[in-house]
Amino acid sequence: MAEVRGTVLVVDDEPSVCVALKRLFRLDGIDAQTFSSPVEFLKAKLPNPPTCLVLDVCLPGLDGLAVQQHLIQAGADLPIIFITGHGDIPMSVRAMKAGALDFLTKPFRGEELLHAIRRGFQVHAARERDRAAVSELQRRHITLTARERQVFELVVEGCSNRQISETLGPAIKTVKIHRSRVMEKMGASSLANLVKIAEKLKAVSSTLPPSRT
Amino acid sequence: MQVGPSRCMNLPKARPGSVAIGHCGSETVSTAVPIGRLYQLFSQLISSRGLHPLLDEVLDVAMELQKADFGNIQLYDPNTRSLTIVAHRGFRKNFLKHFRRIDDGSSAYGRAMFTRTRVIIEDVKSDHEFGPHLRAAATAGFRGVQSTPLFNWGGALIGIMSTHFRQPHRPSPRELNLTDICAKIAGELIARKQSEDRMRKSEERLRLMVEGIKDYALCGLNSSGRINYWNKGAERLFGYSPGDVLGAHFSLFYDNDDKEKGVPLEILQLARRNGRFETQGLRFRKDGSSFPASVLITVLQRPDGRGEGFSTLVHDLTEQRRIEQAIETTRADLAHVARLRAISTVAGVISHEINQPLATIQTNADALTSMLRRNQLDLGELKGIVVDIVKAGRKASNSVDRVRALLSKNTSKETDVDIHEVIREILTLVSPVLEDRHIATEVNLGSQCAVVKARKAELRFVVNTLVTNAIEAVSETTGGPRSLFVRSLCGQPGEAVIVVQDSGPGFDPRNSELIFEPLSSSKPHGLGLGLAISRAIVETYGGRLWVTCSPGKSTTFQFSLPLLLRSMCNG
Repeated sequence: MAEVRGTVLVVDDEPSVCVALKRLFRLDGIDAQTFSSPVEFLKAKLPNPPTCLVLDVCLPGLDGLAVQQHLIQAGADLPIIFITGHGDIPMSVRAMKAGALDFLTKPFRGEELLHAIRRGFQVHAARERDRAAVSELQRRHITLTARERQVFELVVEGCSNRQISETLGPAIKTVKIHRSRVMEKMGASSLANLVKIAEKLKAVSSTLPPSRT
Repeated sequence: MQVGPSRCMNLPKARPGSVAIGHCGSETVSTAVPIGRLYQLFSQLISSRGLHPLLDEVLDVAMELQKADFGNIQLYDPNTRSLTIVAHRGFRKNFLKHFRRIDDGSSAYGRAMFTRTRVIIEDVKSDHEFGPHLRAAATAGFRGVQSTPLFNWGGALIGIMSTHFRQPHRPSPRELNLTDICAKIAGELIARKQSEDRMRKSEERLRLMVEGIKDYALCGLNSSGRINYWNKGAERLFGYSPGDVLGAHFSLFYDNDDKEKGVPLEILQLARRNGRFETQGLRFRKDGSSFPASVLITVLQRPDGRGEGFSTLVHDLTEQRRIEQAIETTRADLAHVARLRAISTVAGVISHEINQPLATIQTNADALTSMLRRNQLDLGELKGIVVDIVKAGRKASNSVDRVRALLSKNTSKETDVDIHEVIREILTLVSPVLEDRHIATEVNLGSQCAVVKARKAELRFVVNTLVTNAIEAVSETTGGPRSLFVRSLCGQPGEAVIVVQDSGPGFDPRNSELIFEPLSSSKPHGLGLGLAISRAIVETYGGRLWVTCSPGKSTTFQFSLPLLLRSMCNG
């Protein structure tokens, strides 16, 4: 796998583990920031992507799974790798169901962790790209006029120009003009493309707002 | 002449079998035949088995004495105050039906019943009150009637004896006197026969009842311990039939050792002394097998106080013992499960404890490997790695030692332990620390003992954990008071409650259950196991451990333990 640079955020209350991990990551060219408590971590500003979180499940105060929930609710799409001193199956299942990338029990092999981190970077980078793309689409969508938006909706539903004209009012000729404006503004190369764009926009609008970057 | 019982005869109290005849007025009873007949009657009465033959005899004699044409005897029921015909001569169905039950004074019978004196109606036709019965009398064919009451020797009315005459008639005084003799003795004998019958019937009922009880063995003994009664239950329990065992001595059921030591006879003596005696022990069946028995011996007393014998009630305890055993096994199983729970809790902790340093070692080793591969041999870094690895290794081995100490194979047995004593011991041990840290201590255990059945070491662990935690908590307090309270209360009856309260900062009450979870220790060097194990220990013995706190003011740990019954505190 090609090496992807990025930053790992480590939350573990055992200092010797943090020190050792930092050593390991540095040797691999990975930046690491360590926190001894989840509260500390949640207060910190997130570095530039790609980032990845390595989190111990048994932490004083807020436990790892709760931190995961926190992040999900805040819309932070960080990939999370759980590490733990004593894993039990229910706990790991819960973590995975909540969307964790991986779950490793101590003592883990360094190579395993590095592998998971690299995968995390890739996932994060891909997610960021997707998010940026959708952001762009949203930005473009805003530039549509009201009428253009109406036409957009009907076009992606599969209505013909005549149908659109009958529904909305303007003449077919006008409808054609609106249609081509929409394609241009949204950057769509074909009807199929436009439909995909519409789907992406719909998906985003029904979930949480775009995350901070 | 109306004759009442008390006026006629001065008959002294007669012994059964003898006849006393006295003098009445100026006439001497001299006729041989009637006397002979009476004598005959009395002999028969005494030997007769049943009530009804007796009544027939009495009636016959009375009728002979008076040369009557018809006669009947009615028995009196004191509950309903009525008469019922129980014997008759010469009457037919209609008559009997008509006079089936007498409860008013219109007839001669009724009058005799109410007045308790003899009633003579010479001619029923000229007796106004007899009116309602004229027709019956006419059909039956009599004109004259006399009714003589029968009494027992206590003076209670037993019945009415009546004779009837075809023609209007009045018996002569002599006839009446003889009749009185007859009535007198007949009354008493009838009464006795009636009560014998009643007694026999109820004895019979009781016998059947007792016989029938199959679940309890009832065995009657005479005063020297020989068996004189053996019910079905005894037969079932011991296997001996009545024939086998009646007349034998009851020590038959004991083993030879007991017999030699004189145990059976001693039991009888103890029973005699106290009226009853209860004991438990092995008893033996006919086939030689034995069973655990619960035995109750009661003395059977005669009214005059002379003991008549014993009744023994024997119950087979085998089933009961089996159930007790099952309960004990279940209890042991539960205790074992609680222990396993505690152990599994600890096992989780062990793995966590050891995996942390192992992870450090592993990751450092991985880093070292990476360094070697890349040829980045920074000496400072290398040294750091080695130091960390060694430290982690030591930590792991410490953890193992500490946990092993806690888990050391527990071969100690449960004994009777006084919690108060344990508390005092621990407090003595920590008193230097208390002094040193200026912790004011107040101890209130009361004067009673609180004894539980437990392993002393485990109780010491619990008390030590709570006291040590309390000390640590107050040691952090800088501004406020530093105090430690230890108190002993009685919770529910039969339960001791120990309270350990410190004036430390406490914690968030929402976490009060969390602190009993393993690894929740806030101390850097603690295992976080103390409270978890303490709770497991307390719960094994059937108690509870819980905590309450006022944040910033105090923390109170309490645990309850069930006490051994005989040391229930009464404070």
